[in-house]
Amino acid sequence: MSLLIGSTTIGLILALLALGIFISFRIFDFPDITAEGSFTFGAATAASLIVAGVNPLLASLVAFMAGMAAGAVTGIIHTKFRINPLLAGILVMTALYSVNLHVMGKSNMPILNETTVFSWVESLSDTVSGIGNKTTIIGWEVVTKDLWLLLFCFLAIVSFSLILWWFFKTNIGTAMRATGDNDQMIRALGVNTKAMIIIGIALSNGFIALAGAMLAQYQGFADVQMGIGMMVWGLASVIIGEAIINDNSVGFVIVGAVLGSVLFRLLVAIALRWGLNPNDLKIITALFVFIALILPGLLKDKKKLTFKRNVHA
Amino acid sequence: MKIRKILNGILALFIAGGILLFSDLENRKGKTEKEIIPAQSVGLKAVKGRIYKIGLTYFAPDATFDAALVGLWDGLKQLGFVKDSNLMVISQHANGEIANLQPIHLSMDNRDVDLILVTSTPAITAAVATVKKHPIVFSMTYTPLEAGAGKSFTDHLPNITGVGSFPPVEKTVDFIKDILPGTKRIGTLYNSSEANSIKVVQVARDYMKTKGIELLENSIVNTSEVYQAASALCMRNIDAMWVTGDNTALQAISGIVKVCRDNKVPLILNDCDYVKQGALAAVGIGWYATGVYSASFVARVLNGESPAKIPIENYVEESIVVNQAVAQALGIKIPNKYMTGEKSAAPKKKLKLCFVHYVDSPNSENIEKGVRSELKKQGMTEGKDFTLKVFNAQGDISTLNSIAQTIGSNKWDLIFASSTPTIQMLSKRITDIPIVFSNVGDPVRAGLGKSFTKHLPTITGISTMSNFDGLVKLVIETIPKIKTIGTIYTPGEVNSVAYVEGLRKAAHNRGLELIAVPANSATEVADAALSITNRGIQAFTQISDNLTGSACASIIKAAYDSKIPYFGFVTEQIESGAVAVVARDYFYAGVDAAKLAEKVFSGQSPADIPFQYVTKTSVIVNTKAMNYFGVKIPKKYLKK
Repeated sequence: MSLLIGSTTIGLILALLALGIFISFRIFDFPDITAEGSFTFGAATAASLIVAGVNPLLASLVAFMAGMAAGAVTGIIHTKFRINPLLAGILVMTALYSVNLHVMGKSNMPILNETTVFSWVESLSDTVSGIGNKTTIIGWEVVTKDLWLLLFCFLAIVSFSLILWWFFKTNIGTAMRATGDNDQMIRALGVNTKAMIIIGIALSNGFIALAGAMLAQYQGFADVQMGIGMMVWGLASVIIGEAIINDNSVGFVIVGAVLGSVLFRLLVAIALRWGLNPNDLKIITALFVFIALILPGLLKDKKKLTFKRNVHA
Repeated sequence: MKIRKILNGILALFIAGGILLFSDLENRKGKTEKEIIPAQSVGLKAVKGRIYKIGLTYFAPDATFDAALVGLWDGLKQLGFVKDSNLMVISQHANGEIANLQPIHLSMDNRDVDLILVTSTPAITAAVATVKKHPIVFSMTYTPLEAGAGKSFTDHLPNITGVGSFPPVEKTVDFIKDILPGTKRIGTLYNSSEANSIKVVQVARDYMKTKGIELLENSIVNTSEVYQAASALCMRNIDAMWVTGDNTALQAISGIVKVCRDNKVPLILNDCDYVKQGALAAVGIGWYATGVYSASFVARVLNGESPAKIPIENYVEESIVVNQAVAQALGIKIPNKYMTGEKSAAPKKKLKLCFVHYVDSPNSENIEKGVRSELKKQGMTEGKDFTLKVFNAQGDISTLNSIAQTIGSNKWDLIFASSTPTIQMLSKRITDIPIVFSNVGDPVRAGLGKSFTKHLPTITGISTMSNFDGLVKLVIETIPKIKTIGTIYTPGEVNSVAYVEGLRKAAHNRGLELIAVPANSATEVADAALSITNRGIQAFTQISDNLTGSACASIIKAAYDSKIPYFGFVTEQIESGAVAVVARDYFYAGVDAAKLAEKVFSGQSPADIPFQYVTKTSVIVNTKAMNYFGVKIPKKYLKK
């Protein structure tokens, strides 16, 4: 049970990453590799500020803005210098590696004993339900603290999703979506599509950096290599979400991205819990994702099939 | 209609969650608890909801002690006292020195515990003198009365009771006569300040006299004298060596075994658990049974009964264990009637261990090998005595998070963690299971503690910081005019950065300049190696991190192409062509981690075990490469 709760919590934290990837990849159709750098950038910024004694909420906010700055640079490189989006992302991601080392001053920064957003939640749990309290859920004993963390992450991700949903309903948000769908048309309407792309990619990386900042606080350290592979996981979450939800409207895609992220972590947890050969972990994960992707389609086909039979009969 | 689409997603989550919970069924609380609760006399049982605290003191961690403790915890569990659940155990030991016994009992007396559980005879003597505030229960002692517990088993000090186990001395002598009929002289050694040994030796001496055997005695004061004393005895033409449960002698049993093997003298003990270390046989006490028997004493005192009213008892489950391999080597035929006892050694609990890698790298894999090899060396067989589950995050931090969750939701006896991010992650998520790390360059900088001795309570481990000064010294002695050395490092690895700093400091102290060139990926390593050869370095002194460890072949190739000799810190690089390595070996980093784990298994708290450097540093020289580069490594290194 604690595994389920923990995996869901990580899934919710990484849903921020999925939301960021969703903006660049789905709204703008912009394969943005900056993500791998900005994820660590957010973690590094937040960790350094927290160690320096800055309020963790403020530190997370600064991390968000740092991510936006990184994204804006990618956007500018792409739009102003007409560099291929993939290459623009690679440039910024590569540069961020050095930036991150400078931000932390070393490659790994522990914040095990610092006050973080999560340690606030934990101490809140301690005051409300007592230190080290345990709760029993249908037979499984779990640490109450973990439940509070889960609740906190859930509320946080719901509010971020709502904000994002609301944002894409505003004029500027609509213009952004239109830029991704049909930039000729929206340019004809007098919208500066370049500005839209820069703001959009900035926003995307802001969310990704925030995910990094949250994960660093949750796991208790930032490491310069923690962004590696994040882009792929985020993308997988978004696509899984789309496959399950199967609807293109903004609200549903956002919900899908969050669900996809959580589901993805659960699949990884199952693969781990089954205790398979560690060398096979990734292939099993890939297999699970594959099944999650094709299952909705298969179910639909089966429905059609039975329907057809009925017609024949 | 639209809502149904979201329901699809939520349904998928529930299915995945369900599968996960189903795999996790064994951790459900109600399930395991029903199996306990045996029918036992009511006064002994634990009161529900109460947390009991025991202070446990002992002489030093050893095999006998482990067996007895397993028995004790098993016995207490039968009575409802479950260790680490409603029974908290604070343990301290004297590191094998009698002088340390007083202070540890004094400090234990000042702690908030319900009783102090004292094991071994010298510890009882110390406890009698120092413990004033708490009741004492003892176990695992030959002679509690000689230790000062009282005048007789019923008339004893009011705050102390327990179980004594006087060894079957007469049976031991009969056994020796039986397997070695011509025996006339038996040698023994013991610490004359241990009351237990004096009493046992006295009984043995008298009994041997009646059988026409002479007992030659040598007394020792500490473990460092054991080897010499044993050699001296063997010089005196003894037919057999007999060592009783003398705490000091048993601490140095390997020395006695060696002396006896060299002189072809059969060695007989009173402790069955030591036989596998190379003694011929033991006629001794099944300590596991003693542990189980002692549980009721602990339970009665925990429930408030005064020790004064509980008589001391003597309890011995005799068992004979024979080491066939030694018997064959000595050419001794053991009568069949003694062969059955072999199986009566303590049934040890099967340990559930796991090992977590962050990324696949030769260093990390070598550590795992080292851990396995050391566990095997300690006589533990995988599958029988322990299971070791391996996790590997394959370089992905979110997977590492999931692994930490998976491990946290399971019950383990101990976790091995390799690499800095791994131990950081685990230390944050898991606070109730001992963790032993290795492959961590600087544990203090990783946030695991303030210093090597003051650190997080559930963690201990091995720092793999290399012996930089040793290598720099070797390089200078090999190439006397050297000015500049070079290495490639990985700014992204915390260990790598720490190593470069260490190497730079060592080089600076000896007047050398270090050129360090960064590389961030395997392909960059080759470029970095080429560029560094053009910067006037006279030798490679390659530090060992994960990246350059995997890609060392390309650096060595650059060294060969440019004829700049390559020195390293990893044994395996000798085969790839390094001139010499000063290795604080990763294999031994695993061995040392397993040794720390052994201490934890024997009941020591990780909080009391300081972090350590890898113990073994070895210099290995490749003469072929030496000739190729035209350098001469001083002879003193060649011997090794």
